[in-house]
Parts: sequence; structure tokens; C-alpha cells
Amino acid sequence: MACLPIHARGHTVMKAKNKLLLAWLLVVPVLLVRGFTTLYPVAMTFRNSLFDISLLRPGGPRFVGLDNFFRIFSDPKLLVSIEFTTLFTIVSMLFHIVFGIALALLLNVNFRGKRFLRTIVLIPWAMPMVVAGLAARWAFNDEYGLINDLIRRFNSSFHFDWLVYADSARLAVVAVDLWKDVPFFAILVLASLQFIPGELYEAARIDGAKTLRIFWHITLPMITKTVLTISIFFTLWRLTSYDVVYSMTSGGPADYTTLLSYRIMTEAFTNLNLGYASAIAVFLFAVMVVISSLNLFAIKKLD
Amino acid sequence: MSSTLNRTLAFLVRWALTLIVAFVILFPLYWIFISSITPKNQLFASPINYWPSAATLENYFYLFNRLDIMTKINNTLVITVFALVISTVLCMAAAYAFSRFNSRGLTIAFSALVFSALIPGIVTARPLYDFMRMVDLVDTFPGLIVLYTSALIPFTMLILYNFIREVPLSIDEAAEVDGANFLQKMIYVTFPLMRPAIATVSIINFITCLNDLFTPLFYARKIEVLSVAITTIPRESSYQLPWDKISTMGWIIVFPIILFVLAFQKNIMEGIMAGGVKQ
Repeated sequence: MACLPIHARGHTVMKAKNKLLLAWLLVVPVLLVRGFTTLYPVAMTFRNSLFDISLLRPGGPRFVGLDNFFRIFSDPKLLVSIEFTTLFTIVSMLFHIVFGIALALLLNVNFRGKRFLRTIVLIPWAMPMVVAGLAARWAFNDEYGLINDLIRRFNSSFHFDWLVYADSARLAVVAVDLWKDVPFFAILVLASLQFIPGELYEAARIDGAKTLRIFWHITLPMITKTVLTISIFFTLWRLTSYDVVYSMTSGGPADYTTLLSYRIMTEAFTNLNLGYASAIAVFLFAVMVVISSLNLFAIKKLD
Repeated sequence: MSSTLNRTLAFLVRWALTLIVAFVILFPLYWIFISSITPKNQLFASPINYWPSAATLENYFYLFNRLDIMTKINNTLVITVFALVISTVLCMAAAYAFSRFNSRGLTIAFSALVFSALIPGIVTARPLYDFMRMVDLVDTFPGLIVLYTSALIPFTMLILYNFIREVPLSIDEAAEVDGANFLQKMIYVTFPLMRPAIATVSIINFITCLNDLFTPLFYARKIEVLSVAITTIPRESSYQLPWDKISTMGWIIVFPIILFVLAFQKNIMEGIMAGGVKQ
């Protein structure tokens, strides 16, 4: 008889263990799928970055230590890529924040156009970048493009081939990136605007505060944290953008719009320099980690 | 006096900005559409005729008859639907486990799953491609479905988990009193309550799948989906874009998306905000 309670306790422990096992069984399929498609390949990329693997050269992989990484900083093609990726990310992010907040404020206004606006801003987000990019390739065409045609309505002698020159091509790529993603950024900012209690605005109005002051002293501080948080994601997406350049410029003219991701894919799938491609990928990955940490640090500082 | 002036000014500014935003977003789309139905001799002309005197469906016939767009639409839908269903089922089960059980291991697994969304495709592409080729999954439907499913998991997981946590435990307990076991509780009690979350997640995921270019571009060759098909339209000359065909293909992709957005505007907004903002 005495052993009955012990037996019962053992039974519940067993039961809890079984339940936990069951929980893991439900989780394992997802973990396996994600593990095989992210964890395993990331580990392989790190490993490959230390080897010279060229599928075009006879002989197997050769261990070269950090040579691939040193090569990054002496490869002129890669320096151009790093330069453009940096410019692209910084310029695009600045405009994302400025236009994104402005558009979010407009989306937050209660007026008869609200529903219409909130619907159309979803369209650029919902359509594939490759469609926007290919359309932009033609839109920036000197003779038949949409952009020059609109400019010529005001200045009929205007002629300029945007995608032929480095600076204007880079500008055009940023513009298309903004067209596609600023609305998405604005929707996320809008979400945080809706959390600001209306009483705050009313109180300020009663105190006689002007619109600009209200924006500066109430709205902006309330959304700063959200803006910084979503900026992490948007910065990482800029750093790894591929579709826009693939469809719009193919990295040209020369290599002036070759984003790092485009360079990596060219090395990995066209030039078949697997080791080198992996090293660039690891480099980019490290940059992403550093930037996210800095951003997280800034957010922590705010609290 | 000044308050009516202020109000008129606010009204004008509001609508002026709305018109600008609408123009910037909609006019390029209108241009794509108009290009797709403009006869070739008028299309390659300057200035652009935004209201062509004649319309033609020739480009559409060409795409459907000669380039077999129907097959590409089918491919896209098959992959998307399978990925949607599989990712939702797998994530529902996992979300249930994550929300109803506590252990250090499970917490770590959950964070790892959600944060793995930040690992970019370019870092995993080459080793993953070699692995997929080794197991004969490159350029196959199962292979593409696995990759699409994987891409959907982090977001789906996050949304379903946040939702399932809100389902009160008392409902679970009531079912337990009635003698329901773990699986019965999960399938008959919790899951039916999750319909709104599943709808939102599916709508967003559907868009995600349509927009994916990277996966089908690198992991398939013969199986073309719509986003890849628009890049492989044959060119007549090497330096000029076949804008007549590309604008048509573009409109075939964009038009259903516009309808979709009109139909699900509210759900999409909710979904984006739920996934994007974790205060």
C-alpha cells in the first residue's frame, strides 16, 4: 500500500515527460525544414570560405585559410560593389525614413481619401520586384521611357539615357527601391502612430501647440523606437537586395550597380568560385550582424 | 475666419498629397497596362500615347498560345498552394506546442526559428543548391515546395504563436475535464478558434510566394513560375527590351494582385502590422 503514492508520483513525472516529448515531436518537423535550409548551408558557407574551390579548375578544394578574405579588399570589382552597396543602403534608408514617416502621417489622417490611400499603398508591396525592375528598365529608357516622356511634357528637348551612366543608374536603382518599399515602411510606422493616445494631441492643442511642434515633441518621440526597430530589418534587406538589380540593370553600366548580393551570386553560379563567393557572403553576414547590434544598442539606449 | 482658412488649407494639402501619392503609384501601373494593349507601331513611338487610338490583344494571344503562360500560372499555383498548406499545418502544430509547454529548449528553438528569417538567401544559396542536387531535388516540385515552405515558416510561426497564446487556457482545461486528450484538445478545440489568424497568414504568405524570384531562379530551370517567366521572354534584339511582351506579362501578374489587394485590404493591413510591430 505504501508504495502507491510513490508510484502515482512517478506516474505524473512520466506523464509530464511524455507530454514534453510530444511537444518536441510537434516542433521537430519545422526545426528540420529550417535547419536543412538555413543552419546547414550557413555552416557550409563558413567552412567553404576558408577553401579555394573553383569548379573550373582541376583538382579538389584546397585549404587557404583567410586568403579569400584578403582577396576581397584587393579585388577592384568587389570594392565597387562594396561602395555601391554602402551608398545604396544609406541613401535608400534615409529616404525610407523621411518619406516613410511622411506617408504614414498622411495615411493616419481621418478624411475621405483614407481608405483609397490605404489600399493603393499596398500595391507596390504586393507586386513582385522583378516586374517593377523590368518596367523600370524600360521607364528609364531615353527614347521611349515613361520618365523622360513625363519630363519632356515640361521640357521638350530633354534627352538623357539614365541607365548608361554610373551615377544616374545608381540613382534610378534607389528610386525604384523606394517606389517598391516606402509604402511598406509607412504601413509599419502607421501601426505605431495608431498607438499614440488621442488625448495627448488634444492636450497639446489646448495648450496652443502648433502642428509642427506637436509632430516634433509628441509624435516623433513616440514612434522613434518603432522606426529604429523596423529600420534594422529594412537595412538588412537593402544589404541583401538582389531582385532590383537583377531585373533592372544586371549590375551595369560596367559594374557600377552590382550590389554585393549580385556579385556573390555571379561568383557562386557563373564564375563558379565557390570559396571566394562564400568569403564575400561571410563578410556581408558579419556586416549585417554588426549593423543590427549597433541598431539594437541604440534602441536599448532609448529606454 | 482664420480657422476656416486653416481648414481649407489642410483640406487642399491633404488632397494634393493624396493625388501625388496616387499618381506616383498608379500611373506607372497604368502605363504598363496601356503598353500591353497598344499596337506595336504605336508602342515604339515617342512621345508616349497614353490613350492609344487602337487597342489590340495580340500580345496576350502571343503569351498564352506561344509562350504557354498557362503552364507557368499552374506551376506558380501548385507550388504556392502546397507551400501554404504545409507551412500552416506544420506551424500550427509547433505553435501549439510552443504556447502550451514551457522548457528552456523550446524557448531557444522558438527564437532560433523566428530569427532564422534574417539569414539571407545569398548566404545559403550555393551549399543549399549543392545539397538539393545531391538529393535530386533541384528543378522538382517537391524541392521547390520544401524551399517555399521553409521561407514561410518564421513569419507564420510568429503570427500563429502570438494568436494561439491569446486563446485562453480555460478552454483547454474545460476540454480536459470532458476527457479530451492532448491531440484531441489541439485538433478539436484550439485549431478551430484560429481561423482568423490562418486567414491572415495565408493571405500574406500567398503574396510572399508570388513575389519570390530568388528561389525559383536558382533552384529550378525547367519549372518556370510567373516571376521567372517574365525574365525569360525571348528578345528580338540583344539590346532592346521586348517591352510589348514584358508589359503584357507584367500586367498578367499585377492585375490579379491589384484585385487581391482590393479584396483583402483589411486583412493585409492587419497581417503586416501584427508581424511588423512587437512593441
